[in-house]
Parts: sequence; structure tokens; C-alpha cells
Amino acid sequence: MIIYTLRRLVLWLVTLFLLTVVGFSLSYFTPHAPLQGASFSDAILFWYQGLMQFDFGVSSINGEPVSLQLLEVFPATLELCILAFVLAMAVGIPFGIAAGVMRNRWQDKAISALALLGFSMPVFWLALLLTLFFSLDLGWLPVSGRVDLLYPMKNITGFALIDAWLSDSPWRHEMLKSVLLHLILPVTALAVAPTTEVVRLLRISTREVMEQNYIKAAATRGLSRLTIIRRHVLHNALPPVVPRLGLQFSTMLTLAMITEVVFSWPGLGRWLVDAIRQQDYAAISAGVMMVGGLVITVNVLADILGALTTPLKHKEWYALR
Amino acid sequence: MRKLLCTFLVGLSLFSAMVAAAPPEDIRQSGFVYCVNGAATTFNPQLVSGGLVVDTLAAQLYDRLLDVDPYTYRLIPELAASWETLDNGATYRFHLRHNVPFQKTAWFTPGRPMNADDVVFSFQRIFDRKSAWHGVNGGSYPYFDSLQFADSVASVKKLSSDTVEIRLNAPDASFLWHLATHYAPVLSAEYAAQLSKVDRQEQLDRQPVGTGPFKLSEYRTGQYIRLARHTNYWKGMPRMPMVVIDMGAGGTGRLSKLLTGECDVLAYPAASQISVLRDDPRLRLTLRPGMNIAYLAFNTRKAPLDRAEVRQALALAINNERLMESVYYGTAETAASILPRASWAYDNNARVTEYNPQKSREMLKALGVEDLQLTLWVPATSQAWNPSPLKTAELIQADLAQVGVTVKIVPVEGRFQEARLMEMNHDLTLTGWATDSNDPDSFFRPLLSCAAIGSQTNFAHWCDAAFDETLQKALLSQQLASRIEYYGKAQAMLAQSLPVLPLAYSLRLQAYRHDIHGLVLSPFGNASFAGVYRDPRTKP
Repeated sequence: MIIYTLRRLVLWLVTLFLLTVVGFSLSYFTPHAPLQGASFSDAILFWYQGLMQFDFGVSSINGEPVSLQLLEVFPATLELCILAFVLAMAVGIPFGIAAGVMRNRWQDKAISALALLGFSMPVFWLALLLTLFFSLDLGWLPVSGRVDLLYPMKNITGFALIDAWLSDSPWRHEMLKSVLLHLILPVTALAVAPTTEVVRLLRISTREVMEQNYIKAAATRGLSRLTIIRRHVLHNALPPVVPRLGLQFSTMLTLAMITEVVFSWPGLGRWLVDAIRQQDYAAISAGVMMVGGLVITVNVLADILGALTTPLKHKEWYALR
Repeated sequence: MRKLLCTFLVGLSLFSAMVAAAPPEDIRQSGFVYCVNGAATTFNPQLVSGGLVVDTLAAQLYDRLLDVDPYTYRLIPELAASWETLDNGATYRFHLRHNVPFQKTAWFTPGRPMNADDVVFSFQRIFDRKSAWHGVNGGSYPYFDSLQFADSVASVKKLSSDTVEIRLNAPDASFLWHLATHYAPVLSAEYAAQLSKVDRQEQLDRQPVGTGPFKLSEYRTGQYIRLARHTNYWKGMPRMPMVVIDMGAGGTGRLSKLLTGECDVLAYPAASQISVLRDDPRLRLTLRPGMNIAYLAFNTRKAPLDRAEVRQALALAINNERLMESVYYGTAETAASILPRASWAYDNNARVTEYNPQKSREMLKALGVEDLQLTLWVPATSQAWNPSPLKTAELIQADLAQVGVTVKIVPVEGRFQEARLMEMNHDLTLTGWATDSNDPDSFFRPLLSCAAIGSQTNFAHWCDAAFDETLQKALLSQQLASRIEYYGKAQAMLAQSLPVLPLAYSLRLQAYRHDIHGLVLSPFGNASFAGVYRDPRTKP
């Protein structure tokens, strides 16, 4: 186990290093790059020294440190992704298991058809459709942003929900409500694709488990369906799916960028798009490294967690050294 | 499992109960949201050539010595209670208003009201290249640089604690008008001294302190600017405690936010959205003639465009009526002169060039110009004077194709390409100009004088000694009648040699929700929001 984990960690470090090479090239070789003009060795030394202290240089648009801006936008993206991920699990797991248990019956077919539909809908289009209906036609939900800007919300953690919760303003209750209302559409739009993926994975996994002899044995013992699902199916169907859910998180980050642009969500994705549009190379380089770093980290974590929870995978620990 | 389901259901119902609660009415009473498409790179309008800081923020954060009445277009006193013009317009003496307090912010607590030191400090920073503050944050003052003011101002002097004298090297009748623009705010010398002491000079333009009706309270890059009212404002306390400038959404996003009420005011709606704005009973629309011009500049240093006849012939091929319909949707007026019709020096004899492709073809043939290939440089994003420059360029391309001229469109995008315009490789540039000042000089000198070739505003690269002399003479006189005469002459010269082809004067648009009152839109940019209030009783 230790060797497996170490190997994953080394892979993680090497990939992160390669990512910083990409980041450095963006700040050195591109036209109008911030470090252009300096000698190669000076530039590389200066840049890596800065990186060690989480210093990505200053934005060429307004002279603000890029790391400060990152700290502002990163929690917004994380908040969106985490909530959408939780929603995807909360909806996807029960429906996936239901579809797997009721295999080939109409319930299974309906769930699978819906999942396929959700899977094939582009986020961009779905997000626009949602705003068109819920915001413009019905007027129930706000079109964009994180909170009604008139509420003077202080930036404490960067997570709007927590900040509103911690606030001592007389508007606290309204603020929380406003934050929740602003979350509904982006989280829903972002959750659709991962939900369908969770449904698909769990359906397959459950089907496999349902065919095992111990399930049949349990059924002959006269256990009720719900008990079988709770005792046997859930325990065996869920763990193999965990590492693949980690992959889902990285796909979600890509989708989150599109969602952010549509809903003007002030997160990493929109910030990166703005930086590219304004040719702010220090910011582009930092943003690329941040997104890449997060994807790699989550994948490695999911790998390790998956190996821990799936006894079937334990043999990988003893694979060729 | 059941327990889990129960918790989930309870959570869901709690959540929906919160959502269904009545919307809070009162927070809306405490302020309004002003939606723009733009970014603030600094909070000091001295340092920029236009955009959000100049046309919206400047009027909230700062005051100027003089102001221009938005309806009569006359100079009115602001921080200067009165002023004198001496030496035939070469010396200006300002008597300052007393007891004008500066804003108290998280980063500065004023120790005294505004006085002559503040005015001297603000203007020396721009005009005096030897001033310690001149070079702070770039040392570039685009508006006053384009008029070469650092050369024409001889001295800025404090005569007493409430009197300031500015001497010019030569009389300049347009000077007061330039001081009335948003590019000439009065900053706090006391704050500057405090920053010098801790060696944080660059903060002066990032954490502003002015005498205006609203002070900066929070700024999130690329997201929003929160302004809080200046309770001691010398004209009286502003009506709304807060204004939020939302820079978050662009394009149709802003229109949707106006429709749902997330935005209260929408600055610069797109011309193509006019019909939606007009038809919605909850929205109001203001239109004002703007101090701007969209024009096509010919590179007059490049053959064959260096010949006036060729330029005239090309002008005949352009269908101006069609531009008005398909680009401006009726929100502009065809331009006959480089000077907007609202200007007092507008030449009423100016005529819009006729549209006659047949004649254009014949003229070009007679001039021996055949198989002409031209490059047309055009900004890729919408401008104050042109909502869709690329579309305009394509229409012009089609028009010129009719007379056998091939046009290649080069979109200019991003900060770095703009500088390339001055490499003089282009043949045509589709551009424009918007100004804050009512003085005709602020159109002629930056766009068409010899000196402006260096300051990146003279896209025609036009330099004509006789024309420059006419402009100079117009500045020497304080008599309006004689100035009008000179500017008439200048316009006639332009019509003759056509270095630039005027296309349109764009109207300024602003849309807002029905319950917002007291917004004043001036042709020279936004007026202060001090008088804006919300009346929920106003029904759509």
C-alpha cells in the first residue's frame, strides 16, 4: 500500500513539475510575456523562486498580484463544483441503483433514457435554456452572479454560502436566501452531466452485483428487497465506482468554466477567459497551472482513495515494483 | 436509508420555505445597481483616455474646478466659485469654494477642507514634468498629452489659500473647457503627502480620495465597484446610501439582468436591443445627442490615397443611409462634419457626401486608379461611436467592391495591436472620437493636427500647415464669433481635401427600471448620481 501511494505521489510531483514548465513557457516565450527580455537563466530562477512563495507575478492589466486574484476566484469555482458534485451524487446514486435493480423493466428504461438525454445536452445550451425559462419567463431566479450586489457581503472565506452564514449584517437572512437563489441554476446546469455519468456507472456496477450468487442466496433466505440493497448491493456496487467519480470531478471543472461564463459566476474559469481576452499573460499562466494542478491532484487522490476502499484493487499494491 | 431520505426531504422543504419567503423590499431602497460593460484599470481619470473611469466614476468620486451644464452646455462653477480670464486668455485665476470636505475612507482621514494646495498638486502632476508626482503610475496623461498641454502651460501657482493661477505660454480660448472635463479632477494633496511619507505613491490612483458625492468602498477586480455616499458632500447629502457598479455581465447578459431587475440602470445598451427596451413597460430609455463622431480615416501619406481626388471618389461609393439602418438602427445621425451637430462651431453649410457609385467609378477611371487594393483596420469590439465596427467595415467593403476596389479587413483586437495602427501601414481606419468637452478644439487638434501624429490619435496622418494655423488662430481669440469663423474655415478645408470621411454621430443611450428617478445623462458623460432615488410607488 505504501509503495502504491508513493508511486502515485511521485507521479503527481512529476506531472506538477511538467505543468510548471508549461506555466513558465507561457510567461517567457509568448509575445509580450512579462518575463521577456530577461536572460533565460535569470528568468527561470526568478520565476521558480516566485512560485515557491505562491507568487505568480502581477497582472499586467491592473497591477494587482495574481495570487490575490486567484484566492478570490478559486473558492467560487470550488463552491460551484462541490455543490454540483454533491447534487450529482445525491440524485445519481439512488437512481443508478434503482435502474440496476429494476433491470430491463420500464423504470430502468426510463432512467436510462433520461440519463442519455441529460448526457447529450451541451451545458452551454442547457444553461441558457434554464435562464430563459426560470429567470426571464417566470422571473423566479436571478440570471447571473453569486449574490444580489446590494448586500454588503464581506469576503472572508471566498465561499458565498459560508460568508453569508458568518456575516453579522442585519441582512444576514436575506443574504443567505439570495446566495441560495443564485446557486440553484448554475449548480443544476453543472450537475446534469455528472449525474448522468453517476447513474450510468452505478447502474452497470449494480447489475454486476445483482448477478452474484450471494444476492440470490440472500433472496432465497427471504430477505426483503430493501434489506438486500442496503446490506449487499450498496456495499459492493459503490466502491469500484469511486476512482471513476474522481475522474468526473475533472470533467466537471471543464464544464464549470463554461457554466461560469454563462452565469457570470466570478470563478476561475471566467477569470481565465477574461485574462485570455485581455492578454494578461501572468494571469493566463497562473490560471492554467491552477486548473491543471487541481485536476491532477483530484485524480491522484481518487486513485488512492479508490485503492483503499476497493479490496479488489489491492492486488495492484503488489504489482511489479 | 429511510432516515437519510427523511433528512433529505426535511432539508429540501426547509430550503424551499426559505426560497418562498417574501423578497426583501428594503435593501433596494438603500442603493441601485448600475451595469456597465468595461473594466477599471485605475481610479484616476487623469491617467486614461476614456472608458468607465472617465464617463461614470469620475463624476462620483471627484469634482472639477468647473462643470458644464448638461442642458445649456455652458460653463458653471464647481470647486472654483468664480474665475477670471486675464492677459487675453493666457492667464486664468480661480477663486476656490470654501469648506469643501474630502471623503473620509478606510485609507485616509482628511485633516482639512479642500484648498489651493490640492488644486496646484492636481494640475502640477499633469502639467509639470519636473513634479515628483508626474511619473507616478506611468506618467502618461492621454487627454492633456493629446493637446500638448505639458508644453503650453507655463506655471500653476498658489496665490493664496483660496486662489490659484494658471499661466499659459500663449492664449488658448479652449483651456477652461478642458478643465471642465472629467480628465481634470481635484485630488487631495494631503493624502498624497501621507502616501509619500510611507513611500506608497502608487496607491493614490488605486485607493482614490476626492470631494465627490460617492467614495470608493469596495472593489473586486472584474466584478463590481461599491460606492458609498459621502455624507459631508458639499452640495448636500446624496439621496442613496450606496451605488454598485456591476461589471460582471456582458452582451445579452446585461439586458437580461435589467429585465429581471438585477440591474437598475444599463449603460450603453446595444443599438440592436432598442426594440426590446422600448416595448417593455417596466423600462425607460434616455437618448441624448453625444459628443462623438464615427469616421473613416484615409492614410494620407500613402499613394494613391495621398490625392484628395481619390479620397473624394471613394467617399462617393459609400452608402451612408444603409450604415444608419443596419448598424445604428436609428440611434445615430449622418455626419456631415467631423464636428458634432451639438457643437456651437458646427458649420451649417456642411453637406453629407452623396452616394453615387456610378460617378465614383468614372472618377476613379479618369484618375487612372485601377485594381485598387486597400487594407481597412477596424476595432473588433463596440465603441461609444459605433455599436458594431466589424459590421460597418463589411458594409463599406461591399460598397467599395461595387466600384472595383478590393478591401481587406484587419480587425484590431487587444492592447498590443492598437499600437500597430501607428506603424502607418494601413490604408483606411474605421474609428471615431468621443470627448468630454464642448470645445471644438478637442475634436480638431487631437484628430487632425500635425502634432497629434505623434500622440496616436491622428489616424489619417494628416498634416497641413494652413489647417494648423487656422486652428491656432481660433484659439487665440476669446470672441465666440471670430472663433466660429475660423472653425468654419477649418471645416471647409476638411470638406475640400477630405482626410477623414465623417460617418455618424451616435446618440447616447441609457436604459433603466421604471422606479429609478433623477438620472442625468449629459452629452459629456455621466452626471453625478447624487440626486438619484428610487420610488417604489412608480408603477410601470
